Amino acid sequence: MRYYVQRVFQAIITFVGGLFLTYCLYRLMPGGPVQAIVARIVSRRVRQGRPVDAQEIGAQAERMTGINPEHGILEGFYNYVFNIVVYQDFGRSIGFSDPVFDVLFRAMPWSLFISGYGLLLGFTATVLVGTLMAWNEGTKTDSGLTVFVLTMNSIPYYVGAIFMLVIFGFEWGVLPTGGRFPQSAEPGFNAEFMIGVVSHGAMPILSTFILGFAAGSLGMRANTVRIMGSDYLRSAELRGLSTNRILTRYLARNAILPIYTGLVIGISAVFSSSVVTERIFQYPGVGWYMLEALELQDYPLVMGGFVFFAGLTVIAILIADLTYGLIDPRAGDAASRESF
Amino acid sequence: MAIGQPHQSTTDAETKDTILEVRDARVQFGMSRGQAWVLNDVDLDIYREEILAVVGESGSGKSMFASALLDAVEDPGVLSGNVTYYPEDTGTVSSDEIETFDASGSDSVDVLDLTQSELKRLRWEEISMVFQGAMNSFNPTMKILHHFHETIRAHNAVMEDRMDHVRDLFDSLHLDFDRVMKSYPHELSGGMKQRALIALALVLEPDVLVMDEPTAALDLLMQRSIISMLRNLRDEFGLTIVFITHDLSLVAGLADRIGVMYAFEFIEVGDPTSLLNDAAHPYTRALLRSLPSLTSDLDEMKPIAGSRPDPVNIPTGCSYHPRCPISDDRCEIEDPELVDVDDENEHKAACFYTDQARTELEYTLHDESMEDM
Repeated sequence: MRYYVQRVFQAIITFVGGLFLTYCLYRLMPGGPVQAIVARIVSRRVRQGRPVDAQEIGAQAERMTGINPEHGILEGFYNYVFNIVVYQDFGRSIGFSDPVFDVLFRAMPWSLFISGYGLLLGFTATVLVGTLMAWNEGTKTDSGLTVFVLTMNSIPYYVGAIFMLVIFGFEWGVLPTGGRFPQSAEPGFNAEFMIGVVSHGAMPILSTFILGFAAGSLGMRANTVRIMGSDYLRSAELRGLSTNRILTRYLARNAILPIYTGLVIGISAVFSSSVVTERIFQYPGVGWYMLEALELQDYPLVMGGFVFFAGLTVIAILIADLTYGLIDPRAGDAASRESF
Repeated sequence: MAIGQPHQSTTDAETKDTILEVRDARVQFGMSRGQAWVLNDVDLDIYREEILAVVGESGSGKSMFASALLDAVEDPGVLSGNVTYYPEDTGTVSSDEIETFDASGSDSVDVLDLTQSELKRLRWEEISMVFQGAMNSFNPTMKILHHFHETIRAHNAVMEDRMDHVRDLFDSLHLDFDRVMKSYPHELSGGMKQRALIALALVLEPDVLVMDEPTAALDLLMQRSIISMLRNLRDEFGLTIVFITHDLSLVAGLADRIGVMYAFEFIEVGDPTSLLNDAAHPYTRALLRSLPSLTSDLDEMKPIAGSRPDPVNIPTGCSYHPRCPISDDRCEIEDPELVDVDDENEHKAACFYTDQARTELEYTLHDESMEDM
């Protein structure tokens, strides 16, 4: 139990620490958000010939960025976190003139949709392809798949994704090249909308999945080969257990252990890479808004995006920490288990 | 060729009843250097309810012999020859629970000629095995209990009956049923794991238990206590035990018969008393002389000169002749067969010059367990 409490506290500290560093950068950047906005307002007023009132402009900048220029970094950070925790107030997006929380919250399900399915397919492929390679160790299937996996692994993601976009989207025109669903469709429980969602999501999902499972499956292959030579597998075969049980309970289960942590932490990598994915496929998710915000110098939105990704990373690592004991009884909670 | 005709020889006024008959068993591996024979024309009868110890140096074919008994030689090894299993007339396993083998009416089973499903029944229900390296014979992510459950389920046996039997086994093996069953393998000591593994091998009440170096990784005390438990198990459950080991002194007090392997075949078989006190084969004598002991002079302990034969290139004639001090031209050409050396007991050796070996090659037994014999 102590272990779990410790892990949760560690995660919270990591998250707050990360947030603080990001916030410092956000504040200290030359030409940072407040200065940028103040400068913009000043120049506009000068152009329009209106009086330049420092106090008023400061207040306006604060409204737009959620930062009071009078406050120091520590005090500002405290206020920023306080607003998030108490009011879920991440400030107001400049570019989309909506609260940051609303913008991100609307985009989040879509990001979760494509990243989640990409991950799910990726994990499954990692395990299946790795096991398949090990099962046929040394045969043509094995070397063929190894070549395929290594090739896929060597193609930079954005190149592969753009290639897919060109082939499926523009050359063959079988899949849409942007958006989350067809414009004509009415969001809801109808066929057009749902098919539209799937076909729009297909390319982002497939690209993450095909280009993503490579390294893991080689690790899976190595583990599986090792376990296939183990005494307990031979003993299980002689005891007459079904092939099915041996494959799942003996082989796959034990082979997944060493790569499990990597897979779970990979969750955060996939979500972060959605910045690139969503940009290439013009898919307005959290990643797409984040990049858009950077270009528009929409600092509150960028900061909100950071919070989102930092949170996901910390949660992924926490999940890996907390669940490892469930899949490998040897890890467990060392202090509370008997050992002889 | 056959050694020990069943129903023929007697040592203690009781007729020997053969349970496993091995004839011309060969295991062959294709290697880049050529064909490797890791079991070379082995003939042996194993009697019902005996404890047969198979002794030999590492790489002498002991484990291959053990695997051959269950037709479990691992790929790419190829096993040929005959292994015949004679089930008991009245099955010890109640027939309503587990299908007995001789349902077809035949009283012998050709082990190497079984279908996959028949083989699955033979293994564990009739002939069971405890592996080398008990430490790794359990799935590390599964509780001990589930190993028993899945085995019982895989053989369609009645769960309650079998688990009751396991409780008896655990009692005989001095294991705490509740605690061991709910543990993961890594939570048990080596000796506990080893005993749990023996119980797992006996869960379906097999008639034969093949143990391949079962005590290799254990300390001396645990080895001794497992040995004494084995004898109790044999008496309690009417088991036939084939015990593979490289440690002659360990099994000296346990076995009813000892078979010595050299170069992938048996070169001497006999009851412990006569085999240990008056070994007939030069190799066995050299082996006994090389045993270290606390009380003997180091000078007396002599290693066997030369090195063990290469499985790809086994010497012609008697495979021991290059290392044998009394070998002559005949040994280089002719392969000696296992023949009786004494008339009154079943002591056999594969050597032309057993009398000469017994007079010329000296050794003294120091180990206490052997002197007790």
